[in-house]
Amino acid sequence: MQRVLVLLGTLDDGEWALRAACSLASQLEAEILGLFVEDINLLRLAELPFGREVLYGSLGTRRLDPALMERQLRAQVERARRALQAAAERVRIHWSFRVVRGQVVAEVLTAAPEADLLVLGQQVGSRRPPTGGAQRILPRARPVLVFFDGSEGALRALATAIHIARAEGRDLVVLRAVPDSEKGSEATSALEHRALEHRAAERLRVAGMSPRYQRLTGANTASLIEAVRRARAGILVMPEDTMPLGSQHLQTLLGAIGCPLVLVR
Amino acid sequence: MALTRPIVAFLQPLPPGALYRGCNADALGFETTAELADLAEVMGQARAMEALRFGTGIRREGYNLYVLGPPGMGKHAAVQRLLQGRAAAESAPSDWCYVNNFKHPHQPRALRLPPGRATTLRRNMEGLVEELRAAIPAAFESEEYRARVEEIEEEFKERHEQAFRELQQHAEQHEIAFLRTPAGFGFAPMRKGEVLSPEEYKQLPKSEQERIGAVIPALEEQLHRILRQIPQWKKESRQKMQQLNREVAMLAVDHVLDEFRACYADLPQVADYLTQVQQDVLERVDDFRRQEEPPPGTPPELPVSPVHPFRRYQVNVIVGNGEEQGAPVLYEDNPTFQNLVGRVEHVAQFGALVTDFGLIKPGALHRANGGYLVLDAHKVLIQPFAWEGLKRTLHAHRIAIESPGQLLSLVSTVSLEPEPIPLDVKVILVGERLLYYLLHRLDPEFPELFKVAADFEDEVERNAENDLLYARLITTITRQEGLRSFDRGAVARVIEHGARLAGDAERLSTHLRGIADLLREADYWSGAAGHEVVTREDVQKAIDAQVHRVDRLRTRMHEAIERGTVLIDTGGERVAQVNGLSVIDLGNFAFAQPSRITATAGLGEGEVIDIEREVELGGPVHSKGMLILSAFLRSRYSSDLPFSLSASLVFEQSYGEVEGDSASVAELCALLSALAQVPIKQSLAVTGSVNQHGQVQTIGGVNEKIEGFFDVCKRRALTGSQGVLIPSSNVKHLMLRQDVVEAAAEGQFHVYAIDNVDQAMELLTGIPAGERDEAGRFPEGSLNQCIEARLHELSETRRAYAERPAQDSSD
Repeated sequence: MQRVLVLLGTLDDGEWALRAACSLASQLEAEILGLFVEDINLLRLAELPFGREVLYGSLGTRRLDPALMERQLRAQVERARRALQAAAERVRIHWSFRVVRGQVVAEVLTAAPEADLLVLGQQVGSRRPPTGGAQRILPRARPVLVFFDGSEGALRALATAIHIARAEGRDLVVLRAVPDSEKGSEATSALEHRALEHRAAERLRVAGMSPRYQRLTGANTASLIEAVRRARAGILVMPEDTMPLGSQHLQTLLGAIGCPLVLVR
Repeated sequence: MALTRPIVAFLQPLPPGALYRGCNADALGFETTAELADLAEVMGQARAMEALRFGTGIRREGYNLYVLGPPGMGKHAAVQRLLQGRAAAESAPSDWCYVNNFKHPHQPRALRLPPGRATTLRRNMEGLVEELRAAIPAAFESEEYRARVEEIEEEFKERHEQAFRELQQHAEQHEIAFLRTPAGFGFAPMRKGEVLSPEEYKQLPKSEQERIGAVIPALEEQLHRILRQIPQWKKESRQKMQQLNREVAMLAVDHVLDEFRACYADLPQVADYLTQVQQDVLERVDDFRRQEEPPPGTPPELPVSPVHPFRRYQVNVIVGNGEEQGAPVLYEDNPTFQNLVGRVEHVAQFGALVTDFGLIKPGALHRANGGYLVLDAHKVLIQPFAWEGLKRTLHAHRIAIESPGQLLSLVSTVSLEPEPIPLDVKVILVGERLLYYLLHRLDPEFPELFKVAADFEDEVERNAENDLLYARLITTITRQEGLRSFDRGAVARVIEHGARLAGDAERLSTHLRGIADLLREADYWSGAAGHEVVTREDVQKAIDAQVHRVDRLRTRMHEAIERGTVLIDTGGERVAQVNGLSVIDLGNFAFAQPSRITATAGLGEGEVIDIEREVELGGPVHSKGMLILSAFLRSRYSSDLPFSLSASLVFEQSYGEVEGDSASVAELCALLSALAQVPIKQSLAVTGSVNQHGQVQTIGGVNEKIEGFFDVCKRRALTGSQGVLIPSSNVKHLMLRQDVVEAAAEGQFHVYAIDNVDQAMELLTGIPAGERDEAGRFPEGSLNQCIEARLHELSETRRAYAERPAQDSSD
């Protein structure tokens, strides 16, 4: 593995995402790429004749203009760059930082091929309100949920999930997707799937993990979101190639699962 | 007038047997002290011991004791022995401890517990805190608790998300994007998930622009409502969490405390304290949930730091009588104010001094509460505030811990006001008589608080019974000190020395320290001589060595006389010059030396000048003696004529203060010699005081005085005519050194006992004094007749001088 991409500039869980990305990169001996997307939607909002924002802390409203928005984004970029530098230097890995302007999810997907692993903070997409910091009083860390459909990619995702769970002392929940083979398709595929499951079990045994298992019925975004909520997942780990992760799907998924997403290629 | 010296029988010297009353060793009835039993009682102190028994027995207000007597009498040992015996039969007093006052931490609570249970309570409380530190985190780590916390969390999150989801859906229905900006939220028109650019917006129909213009403020208003509600939701969520935490903690705390409380059901005060502990633990449950290790970078806390969260549940045992049997008997040898009433210590923390109930330290009064406290009166009186503090505490019957700064209102920093502890103690002050009488006179509270005086005798009567008791006292000391046994000769010598220490052949000193010192030293010399038992010679060696170690000054003074630096005649005759004797007391050793007293007499107006007094070197008692002898002269020789004498008296070569009247006989003799112009034998020395009738009265230090003159004479060789005149009332005090007694037996030195000044003058001059006949005249040729004639002559001369101016004027 060569490169871990982390989306910077996210709000509530940005720090966690960055730390987790650095930790993974360090373990995988990869370099880290920090991506900051200047959300084009925000710039457009600021350019609109009636563009204004409701301030979170004071409940006041103020007029937005492009210059103000540019300033705010520049400040965010600088903060993100410093945070990335500090985190990367702490674990002594190579790092690079990139700033792009556009639709957040689209830009992430554009950059995705350059990386083997994507760590996406919860707020990506700028469409989701803050959770109000309620998680700070949670007495324990929520589990790592890993999507496992028996594919090669799923096996890599499982390895990543094991790493995160062990590093952060979290429980592991394996979300078992029912593959097409079990619905009566080709026998070879079914055999391969069983072999892969066997390998997965072996990996878990070697890692000393005894995960809980949860069944995923219906391979679509809605059922995935439902499964994440049911598992009260703290992190979702998925192989990138498993589901159709188009711009719209990814945005919907991130907006709804309420936790960071790690995509493994 | 020439006086002749007829051969008359003058007073005879005292026989050697009168100079020293030896102890008959054979009459003691034992060979060595090994045969004797120990002395259980304190010898000769029946009165003091009775007072002690009474004073310690009576349990009434103000019946504290003052044990009087000079140092070294064994007062402390006697008091301790008596108290130990009494206290052992009494029940152990209550335990006391200070605990935190959770409502008012600066006023720690005092808890009274049955003996031995304070320490148990302390251990139990330590165990309780440990259990709570395990039980409370365990309760908060349970699956049930986590599930309930998540419930509350989820509820809040759901509310939050639901509100925003609805807002978002509402916005999307109107094709409006709900955006998160760096500082808040914004709404913008969108198409296919993307916000319209300004150009796209401008291309929208007017009606559409108006619709957007109307919808966005409505959405903003909805957002405002949500944002206003968030703090309230948070508060509700927090309250639910607090309620949950309290329920969980209460379950854990109750479970641990119930078992504990049952152990103290019989002590309502402790049960009440435990209830307060329970309340406090519930309020501070987060302290128990906190991680053991502080976050990195925080300074390490001191073990005694009052800010340690669990110190508040500690029990500070002030008095724990668990291992004690009976009532406490305590001797406080450093009775400072704080050592008596206790103190509140402080610890420095980040530059500030802080304290809490755990830093309260008990004083001697706490430890002796319910028993007996022995104190040295002198030490209490010299410690600042100690005496006042002791009195106030005894008056109030309770021990209130205050610092001297608080007492004087000098310190205004926040300190503790520990709850006072009721006091029931018997205080025994041990001290000198002078202090007792001064306190009685000068401190009105003293008689109220110290009603019982136990007065230790300095000496006991010397008789066969007491000789034997003395022998048993010696036995007791030798056994206590691990000394060799004393044979009967040694015991007899110690008894004789006891009489010498008392300065009285008929009394024995009860100064135990002096006796014990002699026994130890005799044992040392006995060992040096290789004796198995201590003999009379060993005791004598110890006495001689004691004297030798301290008599440097005596030797130097006697040398000065021998070399003629100090002029003292020990032979020949001189008019108006007599050898007086004065004692020099060095504290641990007293000796005497002769002093030359001279007199002059001439015409005057009836005054006898004491030169010592004129230069303020004479003390009041000495001056009194001078006035008495002046009165004696007037009444005996010049009662019907003007007393026309001008005389002066002086101690030659005396450069220090002269006090006492023991030289008044000597002074009178010098004066009479001056008047009669009769020489006085310088081979004799005189001591004794005189009254207005010429009678000679008792003086102190008679043994030292005789020995002092003897030593001077012996240095110059004894002539057989030398001796000392002493008051006959002092004969019973004679316990002279062996060499003096031997010289007297050989006729080399004499001791004369005189009753009046006439006897003294006859011995000193060899001329009869003479008594008045029926006609009131002294016999011709007698000393008195000569003196009277001289005084009459002076009166006549004075009268003649008084009349001369009249005659001159008539001429």
